[in-house]
Amino acid sequence: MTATAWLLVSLGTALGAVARAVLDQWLRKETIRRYGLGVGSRFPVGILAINVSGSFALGLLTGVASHGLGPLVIAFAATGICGGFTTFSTWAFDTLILARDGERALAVANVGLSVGGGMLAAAAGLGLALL
Amino acid sequence: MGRRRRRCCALVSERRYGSVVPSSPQPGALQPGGLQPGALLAVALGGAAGGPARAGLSLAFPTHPGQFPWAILLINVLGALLIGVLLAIVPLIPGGGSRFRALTVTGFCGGFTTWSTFMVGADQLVARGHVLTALGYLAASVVAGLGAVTLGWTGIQKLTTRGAAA
Repeated sequence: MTATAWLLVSLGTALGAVARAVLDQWLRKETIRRYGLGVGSRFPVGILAINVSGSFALGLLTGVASHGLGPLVIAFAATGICGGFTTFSTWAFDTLILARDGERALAVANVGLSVGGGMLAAAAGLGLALL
Repeated sequence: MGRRRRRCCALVSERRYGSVVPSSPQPGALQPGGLQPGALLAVALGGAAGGPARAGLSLAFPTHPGQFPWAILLINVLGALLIGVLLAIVPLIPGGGSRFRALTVTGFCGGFTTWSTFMVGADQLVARGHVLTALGYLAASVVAGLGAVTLGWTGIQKLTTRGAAA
């Protein structure tokens, strides 16, 4: 990897992380404003939406990259933005807290929806790039 | 009338949500003033370090097509352990540690770990006919990730409560 590629991974991840923080905050606020303090406020809807949409975006980029995309574009958009936007650690912690709070069904739903939704969204992105 | 009722509900929600936060210290939990520019800068700095750390580990353990993606599994499990440790430490920081959390948790751990590469990697294994490897990758990531976050979080809590009791 060239120095420029490292720099673009760093910049892309920083942008992805800020986008995740802003979008997660907004989605949590919107969920509470629209639906009140029900299941939606205890379930990490923001991170689920971010991880599923980010998986779709990386699937699409990976598919398009097979037709030829420059290594710098991949470093910035795929490794950087998509990698930084989505998160495994926050998903793991949110699931732990749901289980600890006795919300077992929600903890299981967070695992199932994140894995199932992410797999389907990434496959949709990869498939779309083949069209 | 509609607008007035909505505003009233929003106020009630905010007031009630305040009491919900301490029992559920989620990484992205709402803060009263929303995200401050300083917090966003801290998230950006943490992410700027986490991305190259992930890319470096991926390069150190390259995965060839059809192979088990050890590097991403290692990255995600390490990140889960770290977020558990960090979020057990954050409440002990005088002043609430919101900047520290933005830098290390939302920024670094969030930028270091990845869900999208995990999902695309599993899909590519399926597409190449390695269905069992894909299932093993999904199961290992979920089990080891949840195990690591539990270990980090409960481990630090046990240490600190023992420290407080002594």
